[in-house]
Amino acid sequence: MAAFLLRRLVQGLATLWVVITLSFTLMRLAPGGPFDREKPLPPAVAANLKRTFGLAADVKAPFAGVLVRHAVQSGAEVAEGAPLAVLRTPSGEQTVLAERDLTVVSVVGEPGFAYKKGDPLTVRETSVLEQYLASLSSYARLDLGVTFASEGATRVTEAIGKTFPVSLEMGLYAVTLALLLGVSIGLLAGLRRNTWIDYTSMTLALVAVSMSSIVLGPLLVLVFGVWLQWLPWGGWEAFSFRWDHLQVKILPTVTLALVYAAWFARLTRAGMLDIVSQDFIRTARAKGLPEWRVVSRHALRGAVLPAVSFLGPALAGIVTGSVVVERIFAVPGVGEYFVTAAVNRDYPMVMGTVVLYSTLLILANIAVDVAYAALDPRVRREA
Amino acid sequence: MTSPPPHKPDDAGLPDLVPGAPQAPQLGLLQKSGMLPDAILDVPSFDDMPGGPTHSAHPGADVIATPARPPVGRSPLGQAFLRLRKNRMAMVGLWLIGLLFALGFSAPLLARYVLHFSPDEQHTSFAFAEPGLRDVSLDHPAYDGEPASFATVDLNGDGRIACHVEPIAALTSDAKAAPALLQRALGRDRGVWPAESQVPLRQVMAAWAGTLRCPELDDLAAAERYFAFLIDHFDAATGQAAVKPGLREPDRMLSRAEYPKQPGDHPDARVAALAQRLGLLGDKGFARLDLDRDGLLTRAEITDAGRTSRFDKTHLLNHHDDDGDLAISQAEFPGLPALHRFWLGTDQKGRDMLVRLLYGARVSLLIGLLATLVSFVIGVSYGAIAGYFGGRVDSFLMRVVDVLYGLPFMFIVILLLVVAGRSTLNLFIALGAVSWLNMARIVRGQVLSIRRREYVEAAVAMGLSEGRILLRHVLPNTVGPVIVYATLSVPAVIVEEAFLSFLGLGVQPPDASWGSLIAEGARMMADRPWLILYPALALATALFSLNFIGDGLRDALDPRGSR
Repeated sequence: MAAFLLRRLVQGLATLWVVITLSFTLMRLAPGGPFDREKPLPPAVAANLKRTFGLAADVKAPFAGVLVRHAVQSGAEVAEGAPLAVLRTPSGEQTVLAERDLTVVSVVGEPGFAYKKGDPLTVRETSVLEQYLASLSSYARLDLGVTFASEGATRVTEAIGKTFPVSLEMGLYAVTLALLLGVSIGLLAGLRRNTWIDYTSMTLALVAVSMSSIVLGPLLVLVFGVWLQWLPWGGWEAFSFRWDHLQVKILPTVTLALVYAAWFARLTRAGMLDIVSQDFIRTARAKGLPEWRVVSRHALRGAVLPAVSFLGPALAGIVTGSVVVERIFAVPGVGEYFVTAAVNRDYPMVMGTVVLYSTLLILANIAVDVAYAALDPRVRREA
Repeated sequence: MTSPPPHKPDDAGLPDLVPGAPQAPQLGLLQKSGMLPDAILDVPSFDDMPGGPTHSAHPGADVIATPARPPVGRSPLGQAFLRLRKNRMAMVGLWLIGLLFALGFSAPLLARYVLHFSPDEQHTSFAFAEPGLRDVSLDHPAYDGEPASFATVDLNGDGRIACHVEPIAALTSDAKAAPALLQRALGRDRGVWPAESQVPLRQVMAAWAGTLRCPELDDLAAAERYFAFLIDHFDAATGQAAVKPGLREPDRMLSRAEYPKQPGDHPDARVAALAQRLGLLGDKGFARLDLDRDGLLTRAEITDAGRTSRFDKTHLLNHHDDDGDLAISQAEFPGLPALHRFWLGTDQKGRDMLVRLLYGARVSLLIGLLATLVSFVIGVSYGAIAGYFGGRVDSFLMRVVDVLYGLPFMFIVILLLVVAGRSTLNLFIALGAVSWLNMARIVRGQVLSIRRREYVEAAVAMGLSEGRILLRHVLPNTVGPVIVYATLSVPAVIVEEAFLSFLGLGVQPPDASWGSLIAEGARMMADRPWLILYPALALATALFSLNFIGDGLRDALDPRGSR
């Protein structure tokens, strides 16, 4: 089990690495950026902005001294070994040489300025590789950077932190509802095979499986919100359990959950039919166990296996669907944030959201695998 | 059916054409014991037996066969099609989706020749019209074909609607100098002449052609202002004139009491004088407009009666002046302008929702098909390579698929669209590029099992090249599951496209897809439900149909899987 868990974790990390690399590459390929202004920014301001977003780095003074003059100016390309600046030190004037090829964004300080060792002397552009490694290491420190939209004032984690509870709550409700509703209907249909319960529920499930939240959401609002006026919609108070706040949460949750509930119902019914024809169930019945005990103790575990293995895709679908549901029901969640950021090319925000959702999905998939192994002894033995 | 039962005695002496495929004998046994319904008896285990008639191996099965069994020798695909024909849901789906495709792909023709309405035509006075309202189509005018109404249009009663070309007054003096004007205009186009001597080409043409005047039609056209004004101005709806007593809101209808009696009641003296001349004022005028004689003028009735004032004279002369005398005689008169009905209402710009829905069908279905095609090409080649070459190639390629499988796809698509720019072309490339994973897995699994079959070994022994074996002998036998999956992925892609368009990242205006129509409708769902209802129903219909077809195909191509 431990080895299995370890393997899945490593695979998850690999997936996460692919996500980060892919989004990083895509963002670097994208035309335009946060510094495209009609008027070019002054070099010092540009240098500050670029440094905030990891696009520029300091060249530090290798020793203390007073600046005599800069040997370069903004925008200059400097080859390795060429002079950058001249500093006066107690032992006379010394030239600072470039340790590598670089492009100068801006110089720091006027002649006569006293530098301590390690103070920034000039600001250079960073290479794509450096930026990539820097973002990898900052993601490893759970730092998702700063948003472009706020010009560097708001961290991505803060921005997501404000809206994430809403999405999380909606997702949790949806998954729970889908599982409870789907599995119980599926069990019922499987146990009462070829009765009207079976036919009705499976026909409804077939219809619902072909649905999508984008169709279901508007129709539910039209019927229950506009025509019948039973339920309000719009908005969402995260983790607030007042009745009027809960009422608002019903329609979005149902919209998100119904399609997957139908899938779970179909899969559970099929699983149930498969299980009840097996020998060990016949044995259990032959022993004279009461029917409820045969079902709850022997059949249930195997019957929900197909549904559990579908949890992974279902979670992915619910995460994706939540973006649309949030828009339909005006729910202030991460999805809405993500789309706005994508349209406005707020790359750190977009990337942060993608990484967040990928991490969630990967973790959820690992949890599903563990649950599967816990339910099915055959898988456990193989693992 | 988890453990293969022993072979039947019938089979024992026969050459086993399909070693390693226990399905057929197994089914024979079940058949005899009556465990299976007739409908799924004729099971050729399609992907196991490429191209060959299968029943000769099981004479026992033939004896018990029901009359519904397809004739021996029919190709596996043909048998699958017969089974599909029996699936009622799938056939309904097939007809519906065929209808949607036909409607969607003939959308321009339907709009031009049936509905007489172009997708861009905007009727601002009819913004948010409810379904069923009618108005004259301006882009593609049509006539109702009843010459009887000629008398109402022929105001001076001379038996013809005479027109003439009137030279533009300001340019009359220049008319003689037209060739010189033309030269100057052309000179401007070549950039030869200085700016101050530039003459617009339109001015030159007007000096030659002038303006088309049809006094009768022009009078009627002016009356249009009278009709358009009626309800907005005279619908007081409060006090004694109100249709229902105590109604606070204007009721958007005119009662006899509200209707203007004499020219003085109308604020615009010129329009009032014209209305009086045309006999539109007073009780007599009211009676002329009140077509259903219920004492109430609705907007529909006014639009209907106002048809006389909605002639497009250029169109009329171009299409119906057969003898070219610049006049429409009784014989040439094609009737009053036909009213176009907004069957599904209009949107906020007064565009016809039905026409937009048809054009949207074209976009949505096309994207579904094309993106599936992209995913088909990538997935099949990827899966075939992985499955056929096996070993390290396989484990590497499939590990890549596993890793990609964990990605939140829509987010990657959105990233792709943001980077590559939002266009319909990029949309379907992005959708196709991310939805090939399942296809690759399915094809790989199929190829893995087919690769070990005898006929593939025979092909290898014959010295065929690997590419030829893959293309001619392996891939054609994966067709069943691939068709099923491709059918099921079309609705999935359509939904994804709808998601993206809904979020404003997919199809860009003025183009529309079902997703973008739903997005527009969702913004004003409460007041104007028809804006979202019909696109949502259209999308739901397409999704149902495609899913039912996919399910039906799965059952037809792989009858073992059906319960």
